[in-house]
Amino acid sequence: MTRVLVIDDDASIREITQLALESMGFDVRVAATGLHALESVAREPVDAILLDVRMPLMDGAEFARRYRARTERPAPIIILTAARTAAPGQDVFAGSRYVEKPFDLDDLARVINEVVAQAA
Amino acid sequence: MTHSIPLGTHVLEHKTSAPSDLYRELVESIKDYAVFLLDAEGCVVTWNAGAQRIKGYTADEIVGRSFEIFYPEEERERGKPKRVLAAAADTGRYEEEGWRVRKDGSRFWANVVITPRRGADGRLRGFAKVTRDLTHSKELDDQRRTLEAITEEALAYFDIDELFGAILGRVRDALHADTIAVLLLDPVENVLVARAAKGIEEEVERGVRIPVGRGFAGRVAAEGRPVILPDVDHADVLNPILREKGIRSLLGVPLRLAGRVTGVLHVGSLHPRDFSQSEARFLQIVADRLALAVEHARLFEAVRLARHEANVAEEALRARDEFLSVAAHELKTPITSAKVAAQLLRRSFRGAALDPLQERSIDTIERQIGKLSRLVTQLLDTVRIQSGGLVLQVEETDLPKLLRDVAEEARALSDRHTIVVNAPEELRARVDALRLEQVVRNLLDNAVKFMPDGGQIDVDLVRSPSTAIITVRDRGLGVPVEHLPRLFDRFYQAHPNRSGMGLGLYVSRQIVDRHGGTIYAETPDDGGTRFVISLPLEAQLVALGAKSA
Repeated sequence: MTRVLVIDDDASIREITQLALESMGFDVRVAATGLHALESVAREPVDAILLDVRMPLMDGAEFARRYRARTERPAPIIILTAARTAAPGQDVFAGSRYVEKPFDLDDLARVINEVVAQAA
Repeated sequence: MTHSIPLGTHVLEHKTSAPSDLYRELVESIKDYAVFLLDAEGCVVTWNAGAQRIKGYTADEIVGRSFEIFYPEEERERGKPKRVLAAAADTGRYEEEGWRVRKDGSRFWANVVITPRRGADGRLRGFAKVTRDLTHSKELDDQRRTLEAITEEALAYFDIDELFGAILGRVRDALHADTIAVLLLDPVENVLVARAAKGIEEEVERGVRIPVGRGFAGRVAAEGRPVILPDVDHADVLNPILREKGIRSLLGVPLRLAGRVTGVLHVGSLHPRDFSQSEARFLQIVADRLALAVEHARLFEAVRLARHEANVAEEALRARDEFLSVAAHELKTPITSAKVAAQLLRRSFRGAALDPLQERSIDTIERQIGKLSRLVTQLLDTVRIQSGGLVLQVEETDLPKLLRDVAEEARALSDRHTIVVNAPEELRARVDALRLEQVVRNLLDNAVKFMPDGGQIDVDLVRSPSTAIITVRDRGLGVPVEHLPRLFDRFYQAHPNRSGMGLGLYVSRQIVDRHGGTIYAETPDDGGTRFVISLPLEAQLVALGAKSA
């Protein structure tokens, strides 16, 4: 079963995305902050990460840098964003897929499956 | 003519010798210099024409009296005349420039040379004194220096009040006046407003306002030329402050700029005085330079103010865009949850038959979330356009399919409207497909909105050699011709009572512009509105700076 980590500071998005993805057959973990997410992936590796860019304390870019720095085979990161493109200067997301909020569930599932297949 | 001022013959010692007679006649006839002899105690012994002209005394009045009377009182009290004679006796010659007093009490600026006269035995017998009246040249010199100073100050100060503070005192002193005041014209009310003064500070403190044409300053402004008032008692001086201050004589000149009167400058004297034409000319030159300096300072202030306002406006725009950006992002979060929840709900019913009420409800939720989402995206796009962050992602796109998909979507929103797509089988272009969808969707939304009673909407796609031309034609309310030029402006609404933020067409034009294409609206003769988009088949990406929108 494809295991996905959803990182978003908004509880409602975490909850409903988890329910939706689970209903579509994914194994879902959630984290409210970049720090929790780092702890989570250290405990239990995942196949794909859905990452909110705008978060307090540690933003998405900072999480991505730390995660990749400390992980031997980092999982692909899918950016969840209100904007279609990354803000300038976020080279850390070069090559990452973007899914724009509000997203369509089928589109999101398709992108997850694509990046996981690519990484394998 | 040489004897118009007879010398007291009894005081001359060698009156019979011929050379001495000649010499005496020569001295007596000199008019430009006061040339006279003093005895050892400083009493006047001889007198000439120049002495009478310069000092005002006739020989009869002055011979035998002490020369100390020529000195200002304060110098007499300090014993200066005696020191001068002592110095001349000691050194053989004494020369200085200084104030001297005429018979009528007025002062003049004098060059004085005193030489001791000694007998054959070396004993001091008296002094020869030559005095020149330099008042005129001293005044010219003072005035020249004052003008130079004013010109320098006028360039140095950008603040009118500082400028006046720096130069009014100098102008007053240069004219030996007691008061000076500047009044500036308020062109709206046509009154002179006291702006700066010395000696009559009350004018400014009390905010004196004098209508043009009334009183002394008003007369100067009305006539637009210098006015000399030797005696205020014989004039209708309105301003009570001038009377309170005991001003007896006035000289006023207009401040002129490019032929217009912009104010009045006047000086006053506490004792009766006849200001001269040359003093009037001097004050006029001062006033003309002041007028320029005032204009200079005014323009500088206007520029400073405009810059300040521009900064404030820019700051307000930045704050607004920042707010819109944050607000849009905040709004997207609940919209995202709601949209996922709605999809999840529909999935949960999969396979089950929904009754019409359930179907209608889920449908409404999904559609309204879609609408909300598009509005927020528009807001976000607007901010992004302003900051130069709207970037296209160009990909090969099937234009007929794109138009049909968007039309299909729009049909789902209304059953009263018929949307007819007329497009070739195949036409591919390199464009940002999502952005182009956004443009067409927006035009269809507008068409539906402005055809409240329903009707047909035509979407046409044709190819000219290297461009795709998309037209969207409605048969709605139409756009009044006068609104056409501003239709694509930010926040502009052709129909103020209709809903909307006035952003859709603005964002649409920005998107088309960035493809290197054009969009415009026209009003066909048979009603409604037609939007025409021309897109290069190969998008010629246009980098538009943050300020271009």
